[in-house]
Amino acid sequence: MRVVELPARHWAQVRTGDERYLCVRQGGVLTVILDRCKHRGGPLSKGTWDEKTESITCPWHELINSPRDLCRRKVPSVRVGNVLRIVIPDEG
Amino acid sequence: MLKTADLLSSRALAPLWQGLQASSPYQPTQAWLLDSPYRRPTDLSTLPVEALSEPVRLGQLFTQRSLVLNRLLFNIYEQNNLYLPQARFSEADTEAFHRFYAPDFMAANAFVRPAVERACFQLLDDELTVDGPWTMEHLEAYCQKLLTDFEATPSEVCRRVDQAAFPKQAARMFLIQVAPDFLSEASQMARALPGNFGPVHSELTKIFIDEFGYGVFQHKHSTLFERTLESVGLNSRVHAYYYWYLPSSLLMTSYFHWITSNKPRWFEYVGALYWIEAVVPHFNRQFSKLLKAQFGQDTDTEYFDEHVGIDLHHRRMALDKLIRPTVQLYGDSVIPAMVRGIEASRLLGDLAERDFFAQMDFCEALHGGKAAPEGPVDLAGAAEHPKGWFLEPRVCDVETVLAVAAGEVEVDGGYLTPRVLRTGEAVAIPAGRMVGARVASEGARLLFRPRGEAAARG
Repeated sequence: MRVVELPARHWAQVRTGDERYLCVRQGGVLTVILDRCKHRGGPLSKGTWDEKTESITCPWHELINSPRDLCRRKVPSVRVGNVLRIVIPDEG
Repeated sequence: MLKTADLLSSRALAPLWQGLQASSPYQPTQAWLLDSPYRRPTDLSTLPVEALSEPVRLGQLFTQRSLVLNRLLFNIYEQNNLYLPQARFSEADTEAFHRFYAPDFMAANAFVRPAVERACFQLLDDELTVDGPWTMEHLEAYCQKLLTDFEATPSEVCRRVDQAAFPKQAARMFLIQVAPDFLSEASQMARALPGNFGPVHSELTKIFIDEFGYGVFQHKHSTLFERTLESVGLNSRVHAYYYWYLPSSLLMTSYFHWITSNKPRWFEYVGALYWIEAVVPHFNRQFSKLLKAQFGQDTDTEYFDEHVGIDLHHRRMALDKLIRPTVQLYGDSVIPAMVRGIEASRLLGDLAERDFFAQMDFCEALHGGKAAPEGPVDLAGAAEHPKGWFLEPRVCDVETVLAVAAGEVEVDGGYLTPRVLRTGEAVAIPAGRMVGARVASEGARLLFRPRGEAAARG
């Protein structure tokens, strides 16, 4: 397991090894998810954010990832002020 | 649900607040040191009851309102602690003792406590969030990373104190900032003990017994700390230096009272306790060396040395005997609260350090004769005060000038050796810094004003 930092703001991203992580605001709380569509793993960070429904449309097949879908992709995170730390598996 | 803040702001309970404002234990004194643990000067006179519904935000922590609210909250919690005089009760002691622990006074304090807690601790909700599917594996990896980073870095407190122009005074001031906690060490933990909560209850009791010296007074950690205070020339009487407790130091101490007295915060407490036990050995080892280097090899550093050893065990006990079995029993859903406890302790520790460093910088400038305001000061508004007139230590919300138009005035920021300002001398106190003054000669004329109002025009 490793601890990685990223800025605590909506749509902030971090890449580590082959994996990407994306910060999104859900219900007023910043949360960090695996940056992969539920369908074929497309890069959600390149998709479209719907502010009203708090969902993301994947750029690959235009599949909508609902808040519930995004919730399933959450990783453990801590926000302290404007820094987010996530705990993720080691590379490889 | 009962909301005390709403009740207080309804004005229906204004008499209760006015009663607290006028209460004897909260009235000001006229001396730098407090001679009784039952006197807790807390200037509520400038604080309308509505102020309780306004949280102290992070950027407002180093302000006078924050200081007053944090003094109030600290005192409310401290009514749970018994303090007795060091010798027979004097008549004044007896009166003050009964007043501080009077049931009606305690009830009034208890009534406002939830509102004061909200005002003081809202900043933790603002600054911290824990989210996602935490497991024990995540928690251990996270703690390990934090600890490795922490232990790879020498203590900034020790470095700053060591390099100060007045290192002895700076070291004493640091000891004063931890005194609100250490003088009654583990009293917060004692709050967590009543009840019946399974095997971890007994494990926590083991840590508590260590803190209380196995019933041997000379080994009790608060006793060890008192000896350290005396050893460096400080008074070990409970809260003798109350006036110099910075808002962040009070907040840090109150945090542990808060999470142990509010039972739904139990899991947060377990995390916070782990972190405190985990970081103590690394810091204490360095601080013990610093005290011996500054005050001589005979300095009584047993308090700090004791924690280097015992807290390595407490760190392990907190992880293996409190955290692990708790997670095993109640599941991963309790982990985020533990992480919050760890992060809250870290954040409050960082804030306390920042506050201490800034206060130290001001004291260094004050005592080094480098705190003079830029430009001339308009002394037209200087007021005459009798000898002994005391400006209680307070936080300046904006840059403030203290100038002497006539006579002599003692000024201090917590180094305990007040600098005497004479006619024509002035000092500038940066925003957020604490300062106190006492008139040292008859007929002194003194100006204490925000910088913007004190600058001479022309």
